[in-house]
Amino acid sequence: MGALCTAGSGVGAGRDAVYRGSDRLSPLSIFESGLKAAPLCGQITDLRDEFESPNRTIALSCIAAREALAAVGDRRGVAIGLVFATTVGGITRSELFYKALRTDALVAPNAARELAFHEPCAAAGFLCRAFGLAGFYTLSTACSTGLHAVGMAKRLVEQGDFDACLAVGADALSLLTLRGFSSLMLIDPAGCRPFDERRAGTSLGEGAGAMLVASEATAHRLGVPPLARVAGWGASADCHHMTAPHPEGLGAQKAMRAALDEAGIAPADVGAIATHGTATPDNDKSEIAAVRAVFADVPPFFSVKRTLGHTLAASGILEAVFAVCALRDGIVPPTAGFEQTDPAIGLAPSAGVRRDMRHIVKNSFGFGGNNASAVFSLSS
Amino acid sequence: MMTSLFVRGFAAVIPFEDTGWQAEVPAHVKRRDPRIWQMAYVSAARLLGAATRKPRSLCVGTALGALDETKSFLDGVFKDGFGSPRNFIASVHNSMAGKLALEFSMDGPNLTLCDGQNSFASALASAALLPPDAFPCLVAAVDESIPLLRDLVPHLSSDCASSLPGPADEGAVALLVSKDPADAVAAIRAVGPRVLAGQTPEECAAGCAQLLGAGEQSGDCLQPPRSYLGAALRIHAVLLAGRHGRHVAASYSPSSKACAAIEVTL
Repeated sequence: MGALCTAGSGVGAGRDAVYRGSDRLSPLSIFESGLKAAPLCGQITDLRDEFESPNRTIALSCIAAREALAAVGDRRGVAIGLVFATTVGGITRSELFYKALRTDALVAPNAARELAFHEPCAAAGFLCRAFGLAGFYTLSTACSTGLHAVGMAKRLVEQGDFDACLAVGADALSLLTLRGFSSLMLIDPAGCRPFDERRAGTSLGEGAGAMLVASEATAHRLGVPPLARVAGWGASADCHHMTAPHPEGLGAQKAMRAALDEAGIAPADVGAIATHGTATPDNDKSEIAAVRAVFADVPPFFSVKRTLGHTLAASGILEAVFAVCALRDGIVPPTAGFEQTDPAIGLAPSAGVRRDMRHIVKNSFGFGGNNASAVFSLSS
Repeated sequence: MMTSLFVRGFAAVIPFEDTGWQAEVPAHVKRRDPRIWQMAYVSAARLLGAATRKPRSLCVGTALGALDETKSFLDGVFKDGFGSPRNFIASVHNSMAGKLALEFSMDGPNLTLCDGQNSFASALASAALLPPDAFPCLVAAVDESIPLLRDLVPHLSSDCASSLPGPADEGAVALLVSKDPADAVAAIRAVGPRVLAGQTPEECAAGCAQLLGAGEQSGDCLQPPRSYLGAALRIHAVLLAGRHGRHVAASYSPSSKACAAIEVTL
């Protein structure tokens, strides 16, 4: 696995911050947002790009992918594919180019180069060449993308399209997403407070997560002992509204049930839920309504958005990485930013507890009513 | 590996040839929604109007999504200090897929693949990964001709300029596919983007087509089309013509330097 986020570079740095329930949000400083006050974000202020990446999203991806592949031994004869998850692709660079183009026609000759790096698949192609991967899919389903990428990687390996598959999710903080979420009044000026009665929106972040998915036999051949099993993947659409979740979370219920069915386990077998937990008033309420409908006894749940920020397409993989750590370590992390139970939700997230678990559920939901759930299980 | 799916129906909106398509856009869609959503809507409505079984899931391939909405949002931010939330929502790459799911009540898996010229092959290959209860599945390709990019054409390299959807190669193609061969129009399968280093786009595309296996095939589709929608338009043309035999449409994306291929057998 690989991780890069505001809490630091490497799975260990992020995991420790998640376990401590650290608040790692800070006022945006990496670019000028044009908003009255700099919003609190999960930003990476010391990004060191050793890959000469053509844009920030690619730079983030390469660092996480390198970590995930670091332990792989002899790869000869093993076809490793890639499922790359992003929402914004090369937008950080495109924004600068377009702003210049609006006032200076002399930059127009750079358009071909800029357009090539704008396309989301440019990052996937770059990763393939940098790490010797055989082929790829570039997935973009808004904030659920990362977790779908893990699910697709599982299927590609099961169907034999690749011997192993690297799922990478990455998004850089951008003017487009920051101003877009702001235009929808989805940013909490005080920083996100998942499941808290006072919650007033999310906080954006940036980062990358990576997971190498392989059959047990291929994992041993590559010399990487399995950390966990991707036991189930569920996907659904709300068919309710382009941005608002279904109030009872019908689509989320369907995704969770599909993931549990594929894993062959009952809801009672689940030790914890790593929620999407964006801290927008509607999303948190809808997600817990869905959880209550699926789980007669709701297991401990948590959100890491106050620690990492909402890293969009990266969030599904990045948060799944830390969910797998939690599963293996028997820890249900606390939810930073939470203080007061919301009567409309009626449940409080974990305050940080030790718990022996065999299975953990991860949820990710996105614009367009797009839902993803996955079950991660301890390897036998 | 590279599972075959079976085509149960197909439809397209190709505005260059079909100037009356907008008459089929319902008022609520015409009033609020961007043009690229409208093309996706009409292609799906044409397909599903004649379908006896409705799709449960959706895989959409698009190179740039609703890029015109991204431009409009940024124009608002740069000019007036405020971007329209409607533009922002539409600018998300999976906005067409969300809209189609909402309009046609497809509550199963909903995936959007953004692989440049290889997007349709990616969408087809992704559909083959879905579980049996996700079928029938609607697989679509959508891309639009964007005024900003057309204006930049004189400044683009010839490769890049010719890849942009011009008036003749924008539109939407929709297929209804299942895993059941009974009563199917054709069998279809795809190999998603592969990086085959050190070759020309033509050699790369041919190499990718070979991953689909040897055998008789028509060679007219092996030259990778330049435009984003090219492979989808070629597959649609083959289905429309009803030409029996095995046909392969290859594609190549200069941005990712990767190729893909789709095989359809009638």
